[in-house]
Amino acid sequence: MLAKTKELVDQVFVAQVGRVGRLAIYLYTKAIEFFYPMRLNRIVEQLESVGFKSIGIVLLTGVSVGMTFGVQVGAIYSIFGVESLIGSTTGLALAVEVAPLTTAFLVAGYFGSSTTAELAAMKISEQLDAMEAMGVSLLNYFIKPTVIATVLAMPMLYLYFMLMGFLGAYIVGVEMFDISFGNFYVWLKRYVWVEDIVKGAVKSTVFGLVIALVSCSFGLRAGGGARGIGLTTSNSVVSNLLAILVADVFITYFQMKRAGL
Amino acid sequence: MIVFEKVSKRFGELQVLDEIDLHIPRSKITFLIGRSGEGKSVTIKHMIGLMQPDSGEITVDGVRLSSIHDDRELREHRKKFGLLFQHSALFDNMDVLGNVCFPIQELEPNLPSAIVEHRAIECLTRVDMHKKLDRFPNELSTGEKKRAGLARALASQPKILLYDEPTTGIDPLLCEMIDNLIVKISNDFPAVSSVVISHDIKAALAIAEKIIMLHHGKVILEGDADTFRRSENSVVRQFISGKISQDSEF
Repeated sequence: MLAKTKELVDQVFVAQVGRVGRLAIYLYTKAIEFFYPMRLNRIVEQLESVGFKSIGIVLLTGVSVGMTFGVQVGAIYSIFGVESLIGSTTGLALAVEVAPLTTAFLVAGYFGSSTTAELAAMKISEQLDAMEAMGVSLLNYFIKPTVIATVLAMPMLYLYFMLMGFLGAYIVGVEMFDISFGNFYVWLKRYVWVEDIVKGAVKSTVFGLVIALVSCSFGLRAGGGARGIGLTTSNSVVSNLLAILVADVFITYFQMKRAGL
Repeated sequence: MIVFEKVSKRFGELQVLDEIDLHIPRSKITFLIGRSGEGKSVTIKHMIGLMQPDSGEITVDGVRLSSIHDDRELREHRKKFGLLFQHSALFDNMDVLGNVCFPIQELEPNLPSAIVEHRAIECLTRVDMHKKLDRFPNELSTGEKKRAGLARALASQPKILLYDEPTTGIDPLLCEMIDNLIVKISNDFPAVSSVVISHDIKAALAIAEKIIMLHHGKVILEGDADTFRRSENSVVRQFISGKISQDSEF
């Protein structure tokens, strides 16, 4: 009886260990498959496209959004004589919502659309078939580098946008509402915490993942000639914007819940 | 070399391949002919594993494709092939040299770039494109694109060269140039098997060592050029003469 029980326990134990072991090997294999082979040159190329080439447009948009926000808020605050709060209000809105969302929209429009159009054109002209026929994995060559580059670049672009937005709001505050740098900075620092910037960076990272996956999937499924490329690209941009907005709702909800609000 | 056993493929209501059996020999020029939409391109997509048959078995170089289960094995299988596409499918973000270096770098990532370039230039020299290394695809004529595409197909040192409709939509002189290139490449690389997908029966009769004709998803005739010239099959006769008879099956 005892021997039988021991045998049964052994069997269950071995089966469980085997199951956990198999799961560990599966996860390890998948992780290796994702990170190897890592095409560093392709990641650098994509980083240049999504990051470096987007900096100009992010700079312009960041400053103008910051200035516009500053004017709108300042006009109301001046009625109550609290213009010095321009920095804190603009800063908080930029850090947690405006900067991640607008940066994502810019990258979706600029990089996402060009990625979809490029892949669609390659698909229609059989260039992707040629690559697959050479044994090149489209996952390794296109999707992984695009995902990694976008996920890495988005938080950087977000920070850049936010700083430019602060600058725009500061210019408006100083030039139109006569507040000093000290006043602007003190209120900004009091209400915009590191956690707020981390929240914005997390949002940007998720948006980057969304943009890369949506843009690649639309491009790889394109068909139908020149009209097909146009249609696929516009569908990709619209889907990107909707997916970003939906993701934003969920992330904001979880971030608020986590903060106990 | 390549064997299809009772291979079938259907797209919705359309039966493209209907239990076809075919044998493509090693080191020969084989033409797979038939009208547009008869499943020629589908056949080569099956060979390189871009499509899977609904039923039947395909064996390439002794390997049964049904035994290939993961992406890595499939990629290894595809490395046996060099493919010249109908519209060349050159990568338009790379110049001619970049296009030909690409498959070599993919196959042997650790090869020094000087050796990669040397091998690429060797392939380009064979097709007389060595003086246009820095041209981009949009700066090339149709014939030049075909030649660069062929050099790229050769670069990976394939066992099987697939030509997908190489002469469709181009002028007769260019057709002849491409036919001559197919023969030249076959002579230069005697171990390489050439499979040409085409509806150019004249070229097939002139240069093919084996011709396989597909019609309505089936192989209706296979053999050498003489077999086709002597055939009494009405579909074959019409295809060779280029004239549609009143009781046409086309």
